[in-house]
Amino acid sequence: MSPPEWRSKVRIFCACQVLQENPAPNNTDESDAPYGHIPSTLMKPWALHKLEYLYFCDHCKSTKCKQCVTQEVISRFCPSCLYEVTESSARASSNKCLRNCLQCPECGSSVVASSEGDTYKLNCNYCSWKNDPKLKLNKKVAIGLQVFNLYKENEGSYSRFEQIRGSVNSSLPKPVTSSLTTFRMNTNTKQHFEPFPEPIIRVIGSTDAHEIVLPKLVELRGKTSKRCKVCRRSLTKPDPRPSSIKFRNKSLAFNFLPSLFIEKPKNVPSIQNPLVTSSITSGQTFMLTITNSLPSKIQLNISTSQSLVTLIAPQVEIGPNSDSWDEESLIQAVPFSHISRQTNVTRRVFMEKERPNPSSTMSGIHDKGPNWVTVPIEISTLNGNIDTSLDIPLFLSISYEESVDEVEHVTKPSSSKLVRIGVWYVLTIHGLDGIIANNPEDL
Amino acid sequence: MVKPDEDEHGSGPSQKQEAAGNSAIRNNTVNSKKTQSAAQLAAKRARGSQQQKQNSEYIETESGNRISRKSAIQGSRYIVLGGKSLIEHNAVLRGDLHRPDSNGPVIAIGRYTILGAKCSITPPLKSETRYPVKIGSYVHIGENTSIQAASIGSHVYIGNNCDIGKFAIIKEAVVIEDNTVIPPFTVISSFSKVSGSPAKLVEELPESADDVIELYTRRLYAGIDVGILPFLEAD
Repeated sequence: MSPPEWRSKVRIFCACQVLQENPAPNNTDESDAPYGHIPSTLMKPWALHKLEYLYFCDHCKSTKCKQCVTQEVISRFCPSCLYEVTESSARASSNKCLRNCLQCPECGSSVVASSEGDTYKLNCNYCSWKNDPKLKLNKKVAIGLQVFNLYKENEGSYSRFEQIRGSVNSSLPKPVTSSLTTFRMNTNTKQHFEPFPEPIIRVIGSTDAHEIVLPKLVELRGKTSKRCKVCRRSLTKPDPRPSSIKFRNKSLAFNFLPSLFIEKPKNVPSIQNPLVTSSITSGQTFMLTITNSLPSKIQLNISTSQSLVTLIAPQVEIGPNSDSWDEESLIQAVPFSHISRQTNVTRRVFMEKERPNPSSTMSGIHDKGPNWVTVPIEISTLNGNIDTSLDIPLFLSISYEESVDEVEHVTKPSSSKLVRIGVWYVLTIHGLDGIIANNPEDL
Repeated sequence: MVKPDEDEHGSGPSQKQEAAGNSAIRNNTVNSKKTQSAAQLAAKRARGSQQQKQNSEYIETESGNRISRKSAIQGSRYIVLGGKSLIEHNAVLRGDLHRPDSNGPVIAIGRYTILGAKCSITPPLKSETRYPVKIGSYVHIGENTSIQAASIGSHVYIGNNCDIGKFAIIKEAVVIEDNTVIPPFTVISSFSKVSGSPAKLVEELPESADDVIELYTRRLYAGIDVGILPFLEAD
């Protein structure tokens, strides 16, 4: 049996829910107050986020997740034709694009309109859906608007109440309907009914109860700016134009907090020492690489609440991150174990690299570079009692000097202040049993 | 109904580059294309000496394009590479499918673009005419993916085994998961993560998406083991 695949992930804890539980930490508790204990929600999946999804409020010096920012819609646009729609017309159109953008009612792909006589023929780009020939579209009016009007005409007889009642409880007595207004109730939409009518209409003015499946209208999308809920300062503000991906400001955790990477030990069953008796805990040393994202030098204090984990170097200093993303700086910014393809640049960086001197090896640091360190962490486990996955909460206390010269009224332009922030990271390792597991044939 | 030419403005490979820089890049690549055969000869000569085996599988042009010797680039006269792109083994670029009446490039690719093994880029065909493909900078195209798009913006990640239908427009900062089929003439707007067949929006990407994808492609080009893109990691 092959060992389970090794996987690791890193999540960052956002303390917003904890702070809401205890809104006013006593001033007597000093700065350690929110961090003096292990937060009750630390291992809750909804409180853990990937680094790339978090914001960072530079004023509060804390991470902000989607739940603790306020969003404000900056602009609305159609994701298909990228036309910007004003707020009032978006409201009038139930947030649908009323130009020529349509979606297939069967598969949701875009629908292409082609001219056929005095009307349009609609064809799905993906499946074989075609519009009913009884659906006559006027060439002088935008197709989206015509379809929208058909939906609106249909809405009166097909009340929202009936739709909700049909979706929520089918055991309720059926709505009294005449034979002419029989609308097919799609059983698939019971789980998520849409506040917009079903894409089926009765042909207006015809005597028989003929049903036509209308194409769907494209939902508008919005660009939103994010603000910190605590201090109301702006975290991100996008350019309102639909095709632009620029931002006026972007305050992301990605650019503030160190990133962590845990590596599988190279020599797989190494600590399985035959001399160690089975009653004694045995362990495995993993390599944890911490990369600084800030442009200044940081001091790190790492601690863990996981008793199976021993940190060999709990205090490290990491150099500043260079802002340049050229090839050489990127290669310098990772350990050599991360290089998968040798180029002339990787070889040159390897040759020019400073080797860690013996004194730094004494401090427990395995390897270091301009803006990263690799420290060993030992995961010990009782033999025969190995879980497949292990969560390792790590508390990183980060302190760095922040220059305050951007504040105009400061007398000394080069003055700086010490900033201390504390963040909980949760490392999760899957397939641990495949690494630590005793390989009987090897012993 | 979306015409493929409707929103060409604002997209394309050179949006992030200044106009002057763009023309310089174009000249640079045309030159590098001309010198490619010379570089090939030089590399062949050097192969016997101290060149490592792994390195000799790629040709590096003056503008830093690393092109696999096993890639199938056809009609290189009609292909423009912005530099620092990485073309893997058996990648197919059909520059030969150009318009006979035009000498302009039919495949234009920006900087730091990674073309995975066995992917193919084919100019789309409409009423017996081929139309050019524009691919921006910091674009990752996965293995076995076939592309017939009209344009792919910058900061785009396309996974393995995808099918990008003809005249599709993929805007900037988009992630396309593995095995996705994008139907013809589809527009994928910025900060979308799409998946499935046909492609559906599964997530709106966070504001970090463009930076994360840029760093990812730059690291891939530099030969760094980047692992899985954070937006594709399972929860």
